[in-house]
Amino acid sequence: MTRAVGLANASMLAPLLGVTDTLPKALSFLALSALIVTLYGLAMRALRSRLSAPLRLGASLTVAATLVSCAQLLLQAFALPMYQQLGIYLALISVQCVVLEHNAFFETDQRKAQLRLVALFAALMIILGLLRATAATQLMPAGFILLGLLLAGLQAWAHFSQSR
Amino acid sequence: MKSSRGVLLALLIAIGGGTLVLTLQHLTADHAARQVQALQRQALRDLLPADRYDNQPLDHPLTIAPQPLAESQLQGGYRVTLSGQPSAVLLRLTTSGYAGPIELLIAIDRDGKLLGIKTLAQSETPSLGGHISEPGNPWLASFKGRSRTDMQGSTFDQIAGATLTSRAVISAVHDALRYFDEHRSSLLEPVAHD
Repeated sequence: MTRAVGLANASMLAPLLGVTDTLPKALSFLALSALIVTLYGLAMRALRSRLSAPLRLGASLTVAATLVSCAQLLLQAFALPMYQQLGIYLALISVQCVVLEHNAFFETDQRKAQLRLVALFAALMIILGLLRATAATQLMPAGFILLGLLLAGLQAWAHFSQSR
Repeated sequence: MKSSRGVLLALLIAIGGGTLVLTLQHLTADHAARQVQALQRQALRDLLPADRYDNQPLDHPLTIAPQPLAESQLQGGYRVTLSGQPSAVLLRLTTSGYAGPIELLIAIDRDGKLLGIKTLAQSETPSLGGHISEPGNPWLASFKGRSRTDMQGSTFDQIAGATLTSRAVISAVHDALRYFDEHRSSLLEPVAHD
């Protein structure tokens, strides 16, 4: 399993732009997706070895959809405004789970990559949430440019610290 | 043997997941309905001062059929009463904005003066036209107190960068005030029993 678990093969771009226009939205999405991905990881750890590959896909879809539906129902009942703000991005968490599953994110030997991806995602969400609090950057294109700059800066920094 | 057990397990997961979701939906249905009601009441509070009404306007729809107006579509209306007397009406209109339909709830008092506008649904550009769904939006508040006659001939500020959104809202307000003016007596008919 040498497939890299990076930002590129996780479907995180949409929420990174879609829910970071205000900080509370970004933080609640972050918390919810962390919770759902964790629960999903735990559930699939118990199931993975008992299922063949095609069945695993079906089971993974079902588990992800169930978890997200439960989260949606609970939000509808207890935090309707937040549910309305997050909108379709909540459903994307289930796609996220399945994509991560497909990229072997949940394999036990990926511990380091898991941490790195989660930290990167959390950092990007929070930084974008903070930066986009001003009116001009709330627009989708501005968010896109900001995200690009952040990622470029991150890569430049990684490159710089490696070459030293 | 192993594969059949796998199929069984997958089936169990599917059934379990479905049951879990359905049970949860059943358990939280009451809460969810209450949340929706609370949100509607909040919308009403944003729209009407509390001393203007003592009924639950949303439970008293007016008998008006959905119909096209000049620039928008009238979807329905509600009667607002204060101690049994009709004091205002709420008209629900949809109009097409820049990115899709905008649904507005417009409150007009019995003298034909605009009391308030509340955006119920919109998909305008966030931070430009999207501002119209913020409670207490100053641009929407600037219409307060206008009547059909002062709408005519006067020009309105527009939200910067959201000309189409502004134009759609202005014409919907215009339509609502005109409709009220033309149907004033039937809209304000005293109700036999509440």
